[in-house]
Amino acid sequence: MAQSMNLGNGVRPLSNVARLVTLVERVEKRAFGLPGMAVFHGFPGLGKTFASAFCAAQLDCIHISVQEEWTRKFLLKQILRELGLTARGQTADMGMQANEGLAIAGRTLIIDEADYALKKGMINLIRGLHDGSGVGVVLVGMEDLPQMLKSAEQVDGRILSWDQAEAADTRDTALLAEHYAPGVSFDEAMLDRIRKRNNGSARYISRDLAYVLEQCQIQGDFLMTADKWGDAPFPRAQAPVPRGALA
Amino acid sequence: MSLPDYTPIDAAERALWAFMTRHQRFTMADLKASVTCSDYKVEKFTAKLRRKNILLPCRRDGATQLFTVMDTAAALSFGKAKRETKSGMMWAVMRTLRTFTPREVLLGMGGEETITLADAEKYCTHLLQAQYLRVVEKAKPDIGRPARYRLVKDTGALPPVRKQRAVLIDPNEDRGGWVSGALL
Repeated sequence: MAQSMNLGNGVRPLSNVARLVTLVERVEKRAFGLPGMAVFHGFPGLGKTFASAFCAAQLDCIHISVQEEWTRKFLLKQILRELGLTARGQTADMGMQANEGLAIAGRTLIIDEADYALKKGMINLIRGLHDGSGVGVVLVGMEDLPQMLKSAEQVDGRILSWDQAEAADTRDTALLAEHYAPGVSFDEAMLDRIRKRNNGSARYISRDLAYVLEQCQIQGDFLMTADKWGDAPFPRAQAPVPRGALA
Repeated sequence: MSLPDYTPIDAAERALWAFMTRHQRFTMADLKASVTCSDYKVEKFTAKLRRKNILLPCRRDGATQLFTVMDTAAALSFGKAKRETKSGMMWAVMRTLRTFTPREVLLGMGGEETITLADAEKYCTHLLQAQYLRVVEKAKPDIGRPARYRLVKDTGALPPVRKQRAVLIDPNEDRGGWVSGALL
């Protein structure tokens, strides 16, 4: 799917942000009669929650991050809270209230950690909100979310589009460097090394960039190349394996 | 926004009506503190609006009844304008990320040019002072590490905003005796 990297107003998003924005716009501008649910999935650390934060701030989407202990009633209460409405009555009353509120507000609902919603049996409630209010619903979750959704046939049939969060590319790495290592000039090889070392995980790339900034501040040298860095260690990327005996 | 159709008949009613339409929810105490007219006038006016089904009880905060003049549509559009402010957008990012640095707040907004790092830092400071945030990692300016915060008090979709008001302090009782405006 093609994404626009220019969202106007000087906004330069990471590519996964642009992907989620495209998905949100697709469900919002869908033709009459088409289903309005979408799925954004990917491995942890790729920036799915950052992308959701962008949509909440810039596109006025409602972002709900489902947690393991949540019930259906609590989910409805949270949606009503986001809408600024006071929850009244039983779960069914709240469902009606949420449908009405969402339909009037016309704000796309982003359900983060949708895996939990599926496991806790809330997914049909979310489908009901989509059907009842007509607003777009984007489910954000782990890599295998689309396959997991196959078990909920009625939801699977309402998915308009799927998109995957991708590993950070060179442009994303440079953008992250502007934020996590401001004032440091990197050569392309150094950025590429950090990106490859972390398999394109935005979370780990950010951690390494912040570490490089620390080292640059200590050394007072703000030009960092791959040659200059040499074999210097980065923060630990993997949990340490158990050591042998002390002796 | 569909606010009820009502035309105030005098200056006191105009002031009370302006207050009611500016706030999504309020208590009778808020209303009385917002104007200079007598409590009797406020009670007479609110009784009139309640008879006309314009002023409605919306929920209770403990023993205190809250009132509103907004229906669902009005309440929803009331929040939209507040969410679209600078602080509204930063608050939305903070609520989504939960743990963040001011730079991450900016990054979460895609590097929105109208909001600077100084804006994000100032907003974080205000929220920290009001105990909405907790520092989870102290700033180390010598190595360029910014402070990392956690949002510990998520009160809802509308952003807390800093306001300045005139306060009358009575040194005899050593406490604030009066604050300009009922709802700060």
